[in-house]
Amino acid sequence: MASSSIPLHRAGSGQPLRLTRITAGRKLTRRLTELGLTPGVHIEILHDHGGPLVLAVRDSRLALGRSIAGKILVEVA
Amino acid sequence: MAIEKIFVALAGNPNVGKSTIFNALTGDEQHIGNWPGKTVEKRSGLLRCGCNDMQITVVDLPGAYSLSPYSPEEEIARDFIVEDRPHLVVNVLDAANLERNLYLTTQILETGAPLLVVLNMLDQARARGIQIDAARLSQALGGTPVVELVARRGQGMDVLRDRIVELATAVQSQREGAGSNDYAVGDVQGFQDPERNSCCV
Repeated sequence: MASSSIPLHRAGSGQPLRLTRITAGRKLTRRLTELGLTPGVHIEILHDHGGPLVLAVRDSRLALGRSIAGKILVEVA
Repeated sequence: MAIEKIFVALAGNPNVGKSTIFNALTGDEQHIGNWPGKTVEKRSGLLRCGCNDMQITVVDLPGAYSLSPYSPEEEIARDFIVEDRPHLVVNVLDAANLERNLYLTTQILETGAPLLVVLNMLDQARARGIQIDAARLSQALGGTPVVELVARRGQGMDVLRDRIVELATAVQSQREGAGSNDYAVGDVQGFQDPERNSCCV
């Protein structure tokens, strides 16, 4: 893992991010992949008000609970 | 003449307009909600098509992102497509979210199910500056027919209805001829191959 990677729920909104790794189990990892969250994909956090995050990924909006977001590692793109 | 029983399934991601299309096709008034996950079980109704010698049942499946089910609703959708083998799967896509939607499309194609792709919400896609070349999409999907639609305004609904009747009846006669209700065996095996079915990271 690159040392600059941080969990998604700590990344903060308003800056372009890039997914580096998913540290979830097999089933959840597959699910997130199916929703378009693949390594290298660009992510932006649209809303982060302490609850679930709303993301922009591949032209879609996606809401994720914070605990799941914590298993997605990103770096600033 | 015997009444033919033909089944057509509406499949797609959550919140792409499947139930709106279902109501338009069947004349039903199933509740429509603008949120994902509204349909949690499959519903069926008869296609209004003025086709007397056959009966086409439309089945509105719960929304699914994938045929590898993560939720009970997705399992219902997967089981119907893979095990009940409808004469036609109508895969409804949100044209404004094409990339994510096409993941399910490729999985349905791999099952070998007879497929018709519907590009819905084209008005919203255009408003966001997205132009889609339906002919090229069809080509990229191996010749899968593609119909363009704005379901909430009814635009394209007559074309969709005609295509459904045409494609589903063609599959029906084909299956009658082959004496089999199965998809091509090779396709089903391909879908079940654990290596092809495993994912991805």
